[in-house]
Amino acid sequence: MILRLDETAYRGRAVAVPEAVDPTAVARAVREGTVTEADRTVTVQSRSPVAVHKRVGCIHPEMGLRVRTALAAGGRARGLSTPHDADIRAARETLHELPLQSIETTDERRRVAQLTAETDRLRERVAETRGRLAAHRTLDEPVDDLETALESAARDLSEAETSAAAAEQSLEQRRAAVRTARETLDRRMRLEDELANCQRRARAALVDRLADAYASAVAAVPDGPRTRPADPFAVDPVTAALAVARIADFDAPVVLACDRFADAEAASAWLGAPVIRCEQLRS
Amino acid sequence: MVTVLLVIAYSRAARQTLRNVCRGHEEIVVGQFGRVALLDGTEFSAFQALRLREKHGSAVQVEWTQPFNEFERVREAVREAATSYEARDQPSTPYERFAAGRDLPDPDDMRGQEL
Repeated sequence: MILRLDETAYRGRAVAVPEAVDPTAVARAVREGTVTEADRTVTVQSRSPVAVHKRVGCIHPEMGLRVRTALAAGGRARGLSTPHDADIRAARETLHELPLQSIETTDERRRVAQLTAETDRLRERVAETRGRLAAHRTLDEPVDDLETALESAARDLSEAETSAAAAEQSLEQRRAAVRTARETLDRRMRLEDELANCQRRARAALVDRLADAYASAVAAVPDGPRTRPADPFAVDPVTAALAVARIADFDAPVVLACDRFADAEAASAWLGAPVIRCEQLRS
Repeated sequence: MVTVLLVIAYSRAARQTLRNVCRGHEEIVVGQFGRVALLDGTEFSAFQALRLREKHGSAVQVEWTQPFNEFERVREAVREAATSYEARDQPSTPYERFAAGRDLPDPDDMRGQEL
């Protein structure tokens, strides 16, 4: 591995970065190659990380860890498989083939609301003009202007009603398309639920197989419980993450910002993986 | 008329957000069934429903629904058909056959008749 921090290069299977540098930024650099944060640029050239690296690739006191999920990912990194893998693959493939389309009807809804309001307004105008016309007739007052106004209002109303009906129809057509699209969404959701169930079962199977090895690893963590605890999943996140990283088999470097090991070499030997040790957090 | 908003989720993510909304605002939840919720007819419910639709697009369906009063919406013959069919002697008799010998509405007629 080669790690570059600004102008300085560190080489080897176990390196110690003495400067104050954010360990999560270094871990990101392991995944992404180069990361610039707070005016410092970290570049890491190493083996590519696998999934478990996201969970235990950066071990520090403030970390959180879903231990069982991490352990299952560690099992995958050891090449373990489960009887549920075929179902998982099949569900993923089917999901991939199902189109994910989103049909919006916002414009249509807005248009229907606008045109309906316009129709109501015009209908009132027609009624009002008609009322005034009747009153003028009763009083024998001139009605020519009002007759023209009524004709024009009635024409406007008729046009508005036609537009409103057309808008209503196109909204209904879009809604029918949405209903069809939702049948696909329904299928997707059922499949996603199935996939999640398979993944849960696979995770449980992997955790089952590794529970013993994990408990032993927990007991062996430096400054850890030192004996096999009653519930090895209830230990602190650093201990749990170190145990998972020891069990998992991967070649990408683990970023350590904890003081469980004398130096980077000791950590690397214990974990069986390359290590980048950030030392500023020892205070 | 008491109106409620019917909100249906069509993706896992939308269902999760809907559940969170229901958990966080029990006072507006009239009913909840898996990925479906009935929210009371307030602006705040509308705000939550619109927020869901903004976030999840057409994976969220929002309907404006009202209690169903059959005495306002349905002709007497249909109401009576429901009552007498549920009181039938032979549970296995399909409605079609049940209606044929009696003065009850034909199912196809009812299918063609909008409320």
